[in-house]
Amino acid sequence: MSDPVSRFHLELLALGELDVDTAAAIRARMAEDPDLAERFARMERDLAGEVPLPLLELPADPQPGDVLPEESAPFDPDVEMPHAEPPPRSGLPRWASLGAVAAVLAAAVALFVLRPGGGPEVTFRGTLDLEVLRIRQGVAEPQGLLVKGRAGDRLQYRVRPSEGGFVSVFDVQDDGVVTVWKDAIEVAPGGVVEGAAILDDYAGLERVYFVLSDEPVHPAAFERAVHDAWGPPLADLDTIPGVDATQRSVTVVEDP
Amino acid sequence: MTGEELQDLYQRYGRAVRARCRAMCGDTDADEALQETFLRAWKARGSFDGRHPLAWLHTIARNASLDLLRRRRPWVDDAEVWLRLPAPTPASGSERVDIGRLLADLTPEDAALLRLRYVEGWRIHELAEHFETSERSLRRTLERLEVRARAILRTSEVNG
Repeated sequence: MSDPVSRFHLELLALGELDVDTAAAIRARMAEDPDLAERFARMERDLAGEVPLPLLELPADPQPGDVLPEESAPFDPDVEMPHAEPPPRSGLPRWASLGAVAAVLAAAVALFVLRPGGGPEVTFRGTLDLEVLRIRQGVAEPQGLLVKGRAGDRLQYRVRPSEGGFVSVFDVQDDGVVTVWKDAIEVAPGGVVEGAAILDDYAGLERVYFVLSDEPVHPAAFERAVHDAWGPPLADLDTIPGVDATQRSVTVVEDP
Repeated sequence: MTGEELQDLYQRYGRAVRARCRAMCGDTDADEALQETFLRAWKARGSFDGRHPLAWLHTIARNASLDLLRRRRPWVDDAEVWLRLPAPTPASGSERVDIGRLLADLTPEDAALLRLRYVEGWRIHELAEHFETSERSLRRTLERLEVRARAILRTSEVNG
């Protein structure tokens, strides 16, 4: 055994579930590798059971006659979906008053408490590096999570995923309008996807979602996921639930 | 799988799963991530793929922990992680502001990766196994995160 000892094997050894030969080989290596021995000792302490496990409460199985929650239909990537046409943009007033936002936020808290992690299991696809520049009157300024923009600003972005896949970019306004900034484009691991958009005079808040997925995300599917998730303020939707993809987003607010 | 069987798995592997949840999320959220893991395992019991149950649970735990991190941003205040990052200068009060900027910009995956690497001391091959990706990819990611941390700390030094 010359490969590094996996954490999983160390766990099985600590639990007494490793086969005799593999266990003996690992113990022989520990005798010559103090660092490995120390890591195993630490793992044994973690698994020793000094801190009791909390009680595990499982929901009861559905009984005959129980009303089951309606399952939403899964998105079928083989179905040809039309691209969402970019709607005409206008300077609409902000989406909701503060009172309405508070009410929605309270509902959103309940929603996320009762349905934690809803949607499909998200596959870890490595990391998604993102750089955003705001270019105004010829001057480029790096941006963080919050972008202050005004009509005529150019937002230039560079996305660099550590794993390969399809990169898409969507803009979501706080009035629910979804616009495609970039259709799904295939990218190799460590490759770069670049693009830019000119901001218009929309007065509300918007978020730009940079999406890395194994298969192209159809704009209509993303729009549907946005509408399904609608409820919490857009400022709280770091990612759109129900989209099986790695997502990063920036928030764009008006810079008067 | 019956409820009783899952409870058996919980008693047998719960501590191992919780150790991984704690490694990713920190002490405060470990138990919640653990509960969420087994709740998801219960719901997904029909799709169990026959591999070792602990490996199956670890995959669920990883995703549950990332989702929990996604709902909160505990790493912004996780000074232990950031003071251990390779930095050109010792952390100081003024640098905490810029560290906060770095942290706020991190994805849950980035934060989990940094915590596992620099607080829990996981090796590259262990990270690759856990995140089911290549060692090469992980090294590139860690290098980028370290470069970003150093750039922000240098900016703080210049401005400070």
